[in-house]
Amino acid sequence: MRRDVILMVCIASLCLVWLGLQFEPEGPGPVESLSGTSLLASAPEMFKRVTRPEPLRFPADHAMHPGYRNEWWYFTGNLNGPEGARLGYQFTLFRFALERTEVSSQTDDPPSDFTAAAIWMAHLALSDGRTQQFFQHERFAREALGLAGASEQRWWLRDWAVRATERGWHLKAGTDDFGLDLQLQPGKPIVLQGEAGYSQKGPQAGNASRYYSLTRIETSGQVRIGDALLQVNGQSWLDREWGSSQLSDDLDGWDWFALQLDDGRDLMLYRLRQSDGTASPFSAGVLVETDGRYRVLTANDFELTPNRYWTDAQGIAWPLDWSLQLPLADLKLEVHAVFDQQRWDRSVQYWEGMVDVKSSGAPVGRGYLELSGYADTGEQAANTLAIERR
Amino acid sequence: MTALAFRSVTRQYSAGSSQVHVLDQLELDVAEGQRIAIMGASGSGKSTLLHLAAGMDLPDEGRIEVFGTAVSELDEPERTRFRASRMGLVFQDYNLIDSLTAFENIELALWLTDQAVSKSEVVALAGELGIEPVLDRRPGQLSGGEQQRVAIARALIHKPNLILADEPTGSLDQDTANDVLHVLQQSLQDRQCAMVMVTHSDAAAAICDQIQVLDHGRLVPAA
Amino acid sequence: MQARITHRFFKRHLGQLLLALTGIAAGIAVVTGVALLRGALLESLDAAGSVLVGEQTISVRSETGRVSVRQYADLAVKPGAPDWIPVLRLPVQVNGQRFEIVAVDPLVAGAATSPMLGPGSSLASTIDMNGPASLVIANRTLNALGLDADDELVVEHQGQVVELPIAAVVEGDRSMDRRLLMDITQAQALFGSRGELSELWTASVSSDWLDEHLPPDLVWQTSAERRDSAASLTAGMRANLTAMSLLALATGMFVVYSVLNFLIVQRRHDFGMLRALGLPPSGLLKLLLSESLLLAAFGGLIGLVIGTWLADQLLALVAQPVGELYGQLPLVESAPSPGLYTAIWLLGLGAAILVSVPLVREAYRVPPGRLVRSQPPRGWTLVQALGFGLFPMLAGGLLLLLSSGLTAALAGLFLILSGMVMMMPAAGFGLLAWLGHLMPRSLWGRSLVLLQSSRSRIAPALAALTLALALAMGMAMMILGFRVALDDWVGRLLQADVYISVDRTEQAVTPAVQLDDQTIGRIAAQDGVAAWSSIRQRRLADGRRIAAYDLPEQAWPGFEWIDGTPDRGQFEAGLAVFVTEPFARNQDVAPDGVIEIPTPQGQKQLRVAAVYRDYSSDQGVIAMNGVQYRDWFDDPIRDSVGVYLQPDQPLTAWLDDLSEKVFARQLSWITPAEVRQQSLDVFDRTFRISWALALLVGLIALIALTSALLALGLERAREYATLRALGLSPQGLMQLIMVQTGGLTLLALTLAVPMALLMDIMLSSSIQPRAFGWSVPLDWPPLAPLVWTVPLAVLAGLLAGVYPALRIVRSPLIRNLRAD
Ligand SMILES: Nc1ncnc2c1ncn2[C@@H]1O[C@H](COP(=O)(O)OP(=O)(O)O)[C@@H](O)[C@H]1O
Ligand SMILES: [Mg+2]
Repeated sequence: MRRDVILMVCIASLCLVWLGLQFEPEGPGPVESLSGTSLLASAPEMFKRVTRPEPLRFPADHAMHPGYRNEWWYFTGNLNGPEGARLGYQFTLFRFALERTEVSSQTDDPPSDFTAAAIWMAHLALSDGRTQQFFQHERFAREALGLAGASEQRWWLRDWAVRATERGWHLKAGTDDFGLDLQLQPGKPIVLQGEAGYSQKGPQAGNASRYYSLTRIETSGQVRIGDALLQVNGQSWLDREWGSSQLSDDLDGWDWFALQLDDGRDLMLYRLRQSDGTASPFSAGVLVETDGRYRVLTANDFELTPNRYWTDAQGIAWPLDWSLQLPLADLKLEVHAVFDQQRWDRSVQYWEGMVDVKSSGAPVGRGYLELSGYADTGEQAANTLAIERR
Repeated sequence: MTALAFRSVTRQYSAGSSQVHVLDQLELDVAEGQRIAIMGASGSGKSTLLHLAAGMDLPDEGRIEVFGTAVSELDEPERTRFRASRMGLVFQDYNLIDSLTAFENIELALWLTDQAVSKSEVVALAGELGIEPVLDRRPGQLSGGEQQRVAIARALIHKPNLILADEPTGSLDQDTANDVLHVLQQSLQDRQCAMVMVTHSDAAAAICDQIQVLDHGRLVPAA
Repeated sequence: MQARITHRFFKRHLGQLLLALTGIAAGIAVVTGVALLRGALLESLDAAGSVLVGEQTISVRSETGRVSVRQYADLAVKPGAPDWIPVLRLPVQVNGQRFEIVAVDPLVAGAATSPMLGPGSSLASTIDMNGPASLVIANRTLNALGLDADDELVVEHQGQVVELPIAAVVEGDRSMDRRLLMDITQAQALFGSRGELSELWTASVSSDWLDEHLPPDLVWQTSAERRDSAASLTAGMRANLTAMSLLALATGMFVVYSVLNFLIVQRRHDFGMLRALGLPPSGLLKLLLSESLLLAAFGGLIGLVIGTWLADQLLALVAQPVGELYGQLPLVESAPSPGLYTAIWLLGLGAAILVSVPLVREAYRVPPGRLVRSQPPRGWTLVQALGFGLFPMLAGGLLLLLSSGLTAALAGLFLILSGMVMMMPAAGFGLLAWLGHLMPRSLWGRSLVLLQSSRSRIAPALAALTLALALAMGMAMMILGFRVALDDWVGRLLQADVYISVDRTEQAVTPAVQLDDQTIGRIAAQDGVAAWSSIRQRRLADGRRIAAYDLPEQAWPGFEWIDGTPDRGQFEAGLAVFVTEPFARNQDVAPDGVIEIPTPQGQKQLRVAAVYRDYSSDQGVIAMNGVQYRDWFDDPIRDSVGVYLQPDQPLTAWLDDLSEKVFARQLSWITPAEVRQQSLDVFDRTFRISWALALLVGLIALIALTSALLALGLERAREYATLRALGLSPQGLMQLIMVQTGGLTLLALTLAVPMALLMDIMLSSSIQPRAFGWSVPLDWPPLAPLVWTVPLAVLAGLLAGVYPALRIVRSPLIRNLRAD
């Protein structure tokens, strides 16, 4: 009898186990395999490289430069709202060229409506100093069907657009939560970074980009937070850069400062961080005088020291307070994040936010700080690179 | 002529590794019209003896003759036909067919022997056995005594020459048993029909001409 | 001790145990199978969007067909526009099965975190837009295809075959079953489908924005709305399946009853003894109930396993038709849940308790002590049975008459059938008795009369057998009758000599030739053309279809009018339209009613002149004048042109002319005979599931038959032995048993035939119109199912009878004589 009971129990358990195996786990599981995400940082041969200074022409060079791996139009700005409200914004258009250049020529009849030579990414962020809120929104589009592009007159990704006006630009972008509608009027002439716009960032030929800036742009218009419209004015900064494989392999990231001093001078500094934590000799900067004359700075001209780290929810430490020394201009400055939470957590993880500039504790200016490469680990790195690869 | 003869009949069953001789070189002679009662302890082989006589079982050794025919040497269909025509069987539990009326149960024996059914004959026999009023009832609606009378009628209707009865009163109370024995004796006497009846009851044995006791596989006359 | 009694008994009667388990398992298996299949049809509803984009997905489609890429581009750059995901859906064949390519822009789709891919993964990082075309496939789909992640999928779309590597295997969700995810760029390039999109998705957009910016021919739907409308598509099919499975369960329960019943028969003696030894009635109750429950529990588990397997087999059968008819993709495998399993298992236990009740009552009647044969309970008399049976039948009839819903009709069918089942034993045994008395003296007559005493034993099995046979035959008759109707309809519809359309297989990339006025003009200018017709079909977003016709005189007999007056002048003047029967029923419009359709020129109102027979779509079709259609929809293309040749013009010569001289191999044609064949092929595929169910029910019938005959043999063992003792020969007994089993089978058939006819009529005239909207003209029922079933059942009956007969004939006579 025991034998038969055991037999029954065995069959019953077999049935139960089999039935149990029929259930699917609830919810989505992890991705099993990604297409061989090669983590190459350098651009394939087909892309043009920036290897030497070449004359830049405007407004022609405001438009996009097909043939290069990447290019961006990078606005940041510090704004004053009503009742002393402190606001900061960032609006960036990134263009990443795709490798299939053979189909990129627009003249051929492309096999698909969506065939694109490049994909575009736009980042829009707003920092509200009153509430210490940081709004961010990211969007993508193909360079097809007129969804994204940049001409002399217009830089756009769908309805987020910067249009040339008589005296500058009109920037309009927004989401349900927040939006910008700003008139931009350059207050100083174009600054060509590096060697007449040739900005070398690494030892190899091609570890360089074309780089120019507008360091002080008078800004006025409206900022929308939720349904509230705020009249604002202030100063913006535009960085324009394009190239292929401008960064060398051994770099971890960079710390980039764009500071507008109350005395009328503007200071841009970037520190390229090497894997060992030290600054790369290709770190550089520029000091723009009130009248627009400027002086290019090299790594030896300045010193940047992090003073305070902020640890975010993921446990990543971001250096948000800095000491800055520029002996040749006799500048000793402290840079403080206006508030900590100005961190991007979309496809690319970085910190981009408004900062106060002080000298011996007294406010002497405002600016924007960008910290990159701190969170680029594992999955995120793969993601970032997967996008950069395009 | 002998109605039934057993000649050194042996019937054995294997019980595990050993052989149990239920019937051991058994001898039996039943004359025509003779009624023999077989008694014996339970398990002594009485039913086995009857089954052999009816050709429903075969001996391991020996020879069984019914009216001169060696039943044990016929093949199955022949034995069946022979049994149907020459013998009548009565069981302790009557073994009536539930779905058939008393009449149909009696009629069954005629049908199985391919005889024409004469309704009057059935009714007459039933009258003789005192079951005429219940002929159109089914077995479930009959008392034990009535059922056994129907069974006796079924055993007699086709005019057999040998009745084999296995404890026909075993399921009946004393009074009913006596009734049934009475009609049975009466019917057999009228028909000059031989009978081998297995019984435990002295009253039943009393209607027989002879009483034999089955013991250790052999028959011995009762003391 | 109780366990030991049970164990000993079943050990000695292993065959019976297996039969009981089979009966329970078969019933549960059919219910499980159909329940899972139903679920698979429901769950597969088009939720690809919500999987890729999120539960709140809103999809935008065109009222008039496809969304143009231009419209997408315009919408995408509108101020405040959400992230629109352009979606191109392409029906494809993989391994002969219907699949769908869902091509999206991974860039936009990837920006929103995709629930399918899990946290931290975007579609953009999964699909390699740079590399060669590749697919993302869900794990389960890949397994169902029996492929590995390194394998290539051979995908066929409109005759074009491509091999595609797998870029990634994802866990996915059920709604990714049979769907292959692709980059829209690659899909367009591969399959040459530029210019048009199937739909647009977005995760969040306000209805205000949509109302303000959506062009008039685009409509939007939320995920939930979409699921609802998809669910309503297959509602009829699912309701039918459920009804059939419940009927199968009822049949299965009869089997269980008769098996359990027959286990009790075997043990009357034991029960009597146990009672005599002092087992109280409650002890007997406990013993019997625990045995039934144990059997049901164990058999139920096995049934669940078999049913799950069965569901996947059924699913394979329905996948194609569901895709063809409803544009829906079922899951690759059924999706059982612990809840469903538990529910069905408990249903089995409940049914076991239910059927135990009369058995326990019977066991109670076994008197304690020495066995006195008790009278088996009598069934109802014929009058009683007719009385009891008529009641549910009347109720069912009333339900059918008074309500118009599908559920009510199915309930009515149920009631009528159960009424018939109630009458069946009395009617059947009455018939048997009558037959028996017709030939009172013969072995045949006797054999049949002898069956009467087993009536209570055999009745449930007989009912099960009859019901199962009637179901199987009735369904088969309905299917065949419908097939004949469809055949007639297609034959009538196709009046032209040949139908011409653009060849899509030769040139998958945008065909050079289109069936517009110019092309048609060139075709019509050919020698020998007497007249031509044309049709352009368009699916509206709500599932309704428009068929725009240009009809010459010769085409008009193709319509079979059901209602209204088909005024040709009004139709051709664009003043009236015709609608199909399902349309009229679904939309509840009658002749002279008015329907509204969305066109690029806004909502248009149309007067319905007449209703015609049509089996092409259970959603319904609006037939309108082609001239009017082209005007409203600005769509000069036709899907196909029917050519009527002059009487003396041979078709082949004409076609040779056409292909060689006019449009070298850019057109394809099909003759009415080929269309008819294709329609019937589709029909046959569609009804495979019904055939499968009919077969399953037939299987249950076989089990019912076996159990009935085994019960018969065992119950009657003593009786047979008595007959043998009284002089019935082995051959005679064998013959008797065969007559009895054959007689029972024939009896069941006799009762089943009228039931089957009734089922056929009810299915064709009540259930079909309610489930699908169309009616089937009542005609002589096809007799093929009878011709097939009757000999098959008799053969099965005889075979099922032979075994117990042989067993009885061979078993020692003496033992059966004594044992009871
Ligand atoms: N088929 C059989 N197999 C083994 N033994 C049997 C068989 N039939 C009867 N016996 C044994 O033979 C003996 C005689 O049985 P039976 O003739 O029925 O006895 P009685 O009728 O005198 O009570 C008993 O011991 C019984 O156990
Ligand atoms: Mg005995």
